[in-house]
Amino acid sequence: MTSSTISRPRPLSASAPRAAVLVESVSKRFRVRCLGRMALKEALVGGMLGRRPPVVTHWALRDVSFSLRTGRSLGIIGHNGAGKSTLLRLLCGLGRPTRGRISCADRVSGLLELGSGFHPDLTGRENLITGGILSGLTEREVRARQDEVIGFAELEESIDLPVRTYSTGMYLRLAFATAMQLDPAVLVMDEVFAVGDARFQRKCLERVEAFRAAGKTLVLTSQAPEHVRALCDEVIVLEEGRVVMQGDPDAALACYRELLADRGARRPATPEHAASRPDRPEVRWAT
Amino acid sequence: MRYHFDLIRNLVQRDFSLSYRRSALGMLWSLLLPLAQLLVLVFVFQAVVPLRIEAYPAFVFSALLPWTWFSTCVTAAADIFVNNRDLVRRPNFSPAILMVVNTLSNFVTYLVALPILLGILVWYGRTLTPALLLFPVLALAQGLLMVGIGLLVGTFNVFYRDVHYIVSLGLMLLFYLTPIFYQPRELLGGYHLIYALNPAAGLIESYRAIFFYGVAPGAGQLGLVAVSSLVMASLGYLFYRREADDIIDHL
Repeated sequence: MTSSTISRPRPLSASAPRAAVLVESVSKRFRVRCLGRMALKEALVGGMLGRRPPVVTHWALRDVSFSLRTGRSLGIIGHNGAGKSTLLRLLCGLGRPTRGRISCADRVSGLLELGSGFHPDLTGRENLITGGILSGLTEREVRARQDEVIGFAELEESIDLPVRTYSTGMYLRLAFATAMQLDPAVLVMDEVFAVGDARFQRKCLERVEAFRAAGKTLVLTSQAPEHVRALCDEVIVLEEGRVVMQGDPDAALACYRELLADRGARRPATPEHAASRPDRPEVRWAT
Repeated sequence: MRYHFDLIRNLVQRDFSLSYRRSALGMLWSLLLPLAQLLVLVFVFQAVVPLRIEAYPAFVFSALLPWTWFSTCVTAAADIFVNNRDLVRRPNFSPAILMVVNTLSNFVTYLVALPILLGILVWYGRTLTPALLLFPVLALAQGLLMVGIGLLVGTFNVFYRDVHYIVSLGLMLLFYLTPIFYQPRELLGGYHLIYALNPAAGLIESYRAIFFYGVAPGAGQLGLVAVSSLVMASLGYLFYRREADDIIDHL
């Protein structure tokens, strides 16, 4: 694979094998009105006076194209704000690209925000069942799988306690196990390996490996190079909404390291600040 | 089909158990509120300014219950997308379902209060007639009406939070413009127009016809109720559909 930086991936030839995911020059623009949300009064008054409200536009994605064959797994890397999550959300059908087109052959299922939809006052079991139904199973199917899920999350003892009593690790374990119940054809995962201790993380990785081995298609983002290397067949590097390169994991990771180094040179980390807090835990898994 | 049934039932259950979890009286609260309102209205319009309507408590309560369903439901609908950001931003989940869930879970409260209404009606010597069989029709029409209004105000509220206040204000005014504690024939002159334009009025009058008077509402009235519900539901849904993608970006 090429290790040079290419601005645009190869166009898809007509005879390409069946693409599970096809993204054609997708751009996404967000418009944020100044001063927070505009109140109705300003909208009405402004509208009558012919004034447009001040708008900040932000292109989260610019002309992104790629295709992914069934059974392949794609990693998307890039620093915070590069557009990874926006891209994954569009793949899941949340929101509409401002330009371009996304087509998916099969039903896409997404693990975007772990534990979203969990309610702290409900028990683990109640949340598990709601979560399972929300990800597309009937209640009967969820009930049939619940023991397996509880076993996977290792929460046999506390499953009937309200989720607010759980530790962060327990919460994430339940969230991951719940989300993995569904057996979709295309799975989209946004940095979800932040789960529990090292042993549980390994378990999750094995689960995803099994999913790949079953010939399913996978799209994921991760900040951990070892996960990208272990799970992805090909990798896209995003920088400010653009595809900087597409290639095999090692080449992409090298390219990403260069980008990070560039960025570090432009905006140096303050060493005295870092030195003053040597015990500061590394926050890698913001949710 | 089976799936959507499960989804809605589960979310209604969840809504319901969340409303009353960790409260000692639980469900009773949803009965106490309309009963307290009934006491106030009976006190004012039987003792302070008598309206001289026979069996007044039964007269009021037969209209107050559907009104309570309407107002709690529409109030909650305004904030529903904003408060359920998590669910709205879930892949493969259609946020419009939240409106159906909201309507249904408030309907359950109505159903639970229904025996009290029947008790009051019997106590005041009203006879229960087969006209009551029209109840599901009216409830369905009201449900559609509220899902429509809910989609409209809920969607608007994502972009302009003023809608939340407009809804409270509107419901307050509507309470007095709807013949809940008075008879519409006491209305004079131009006020009839307000009555004709108010979709809740025909509905409330129809409920009162089947519960209090024991007669089926006129075909004209029933037709008007059905048409206004369908129009409202389609308007709400069309508006929501047009804005659905923007809702996700704005939350």
